[in-house]
Amino acid sequence: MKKKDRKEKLQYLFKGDLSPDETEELNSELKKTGSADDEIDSLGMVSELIDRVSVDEPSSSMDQRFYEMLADEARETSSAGITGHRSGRVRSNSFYAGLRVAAGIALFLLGWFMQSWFGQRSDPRDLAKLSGEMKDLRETLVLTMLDQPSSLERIRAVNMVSQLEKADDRIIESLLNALNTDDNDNVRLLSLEALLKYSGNPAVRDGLISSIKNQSSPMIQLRLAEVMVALKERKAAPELRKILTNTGMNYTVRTRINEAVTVLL
Amino acid sequence: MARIIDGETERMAILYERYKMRVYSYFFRVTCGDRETSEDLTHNVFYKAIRYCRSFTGQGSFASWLFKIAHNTALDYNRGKKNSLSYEVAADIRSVQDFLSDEDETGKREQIASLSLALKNLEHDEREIIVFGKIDCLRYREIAGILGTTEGNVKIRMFRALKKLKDIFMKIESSRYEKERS
Repeated sequence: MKKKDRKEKLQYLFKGDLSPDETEELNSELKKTGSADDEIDSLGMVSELIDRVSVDEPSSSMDQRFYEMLADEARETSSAGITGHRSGRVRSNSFYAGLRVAAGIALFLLGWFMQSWFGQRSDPRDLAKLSGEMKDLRETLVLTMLDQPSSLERIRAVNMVSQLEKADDRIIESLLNALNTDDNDNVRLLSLEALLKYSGNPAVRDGLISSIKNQSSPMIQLRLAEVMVALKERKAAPELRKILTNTGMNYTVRTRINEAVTVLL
Repeated sequence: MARIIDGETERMAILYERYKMRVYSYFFRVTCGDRETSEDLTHNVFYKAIRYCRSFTGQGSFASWLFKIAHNTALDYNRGKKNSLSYEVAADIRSVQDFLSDEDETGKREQIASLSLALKNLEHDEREIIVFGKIDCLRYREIAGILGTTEGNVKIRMFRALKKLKDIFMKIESSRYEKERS
C-alpha cells in the first residue's frame, strides 16, 4: 500500500468509514511500515484518543426548555389538530395544571428534605425511603401527564420516562397503552422508543409484538419491523405477515416489512 | 420535515430526541467542555430549526441542514472570541483528568487529558473540523456542504488539523514528561 493510500485510508478510518477488514489491513500496514510512517501511526493514535474524550451529560433543564419552547411554537401555529383534544378524553386543563404544579412543589420539597436529612442523619433506611417516595411521585407525575389531552404534554411525559432509571409495571403498561391507542403518531413513536430500554422484559416484548396489528402509521410499522429484527423476535413474523395483507400499503413499506419477515423466519 | 413545515410543529420533538446529543456533543467539544453554553447553543439550534424549517429544501439530509445551523450558531458565538490559551500544562491537565472515567488506565487517562488540552489550543475552525469528522451521521460530502467547500478541501483541512493537534499533543506530553522527571 502506498503512503498516499494509507493517508487516504487513515482519513476514512478517522471518519469511521472503513469496514473491519479494511481497518485490519490498514493496521497491519501501519505495523509493517517503519519509522518513516510513525507520523501516520501517531495520527491514528490521536484519532483514537479523541473518541475517548468524555462529554458531560446535559442537564435536564435543556429538555425542559426545549419542550416549553416547542409548546409555545405549536400554540402559535394555527394548523388544525396540533394541540387538539382527543375524542372522549377531554380534561379540565386547569385541574391538571394545578396537579402538575402541586407535584412539582412536592418533588422540590422532597428533594430539599433529602438534602437536609442527608447532612444530619446517616441512616440509609431513611434515605432509601425518601428516595422511593420521590420516585413514586415522579412516576405519578408521568402517568398524569401521559393522560393529558395535549399531545405535547404526552410527548413530555414519554421523554420523562426515558430519564427514569427504571420504570415500574404501571409505567410500562401506560407506554404500551400509548403505543396502541394514542391518536398521535409522535406519541406512539416516542413510546415505542422509550419501551426499547426495557426490551429485556418479556412483557414488553409481547406487548410490542401484539401492538403490530394496531399500527396504521407506516413510520411506526417500519420501526416495529426494524425492532423485531434487531431483537431477533421470531414470534413477530406472523403479526408482520398479517399487516402485509393490507392492500393499501405503500410499496416501500411493504418491501421492507417483507424483508423483515424473511430475516425473522 | 415536510409535516413540520405543514404545521405539525410538535414533530420536531422526534427529531430533537434523535439529534439532541449529537448537536450538544458538537458544541461541548467546540466550546472545550462548556456545558452551560453547549446547552444554550443546542437550544438555539432547535429554536432556529423550528422557526426556519421552510429553508429545508430536502436536497440534502436533515442532519447536514441541522449542522449547518449549528455551524453558523457556533460561528456567531465564537465571533470576537479569540482562543488565547497557552501551555499552562500541569494544572489544566489535572482539571481535565478529574472529568475522566476511572475505567481508563492511568497512562491513557493522562494522554486523554493532554489531548483535551491540545484540542483547546487549536483554532476554532480546526477544532470544529475534527469534531465534524467524529459525527457519525455526517459524511465528508455533507461536511463540505456545511462548510461551503469541496470534499477534497475538507479532507485536506481535516488532515492538517489532525496533524497540528498531534504536534501540540506531543509537545504537551513531552512537557508533562519533563515535569514528572524533574
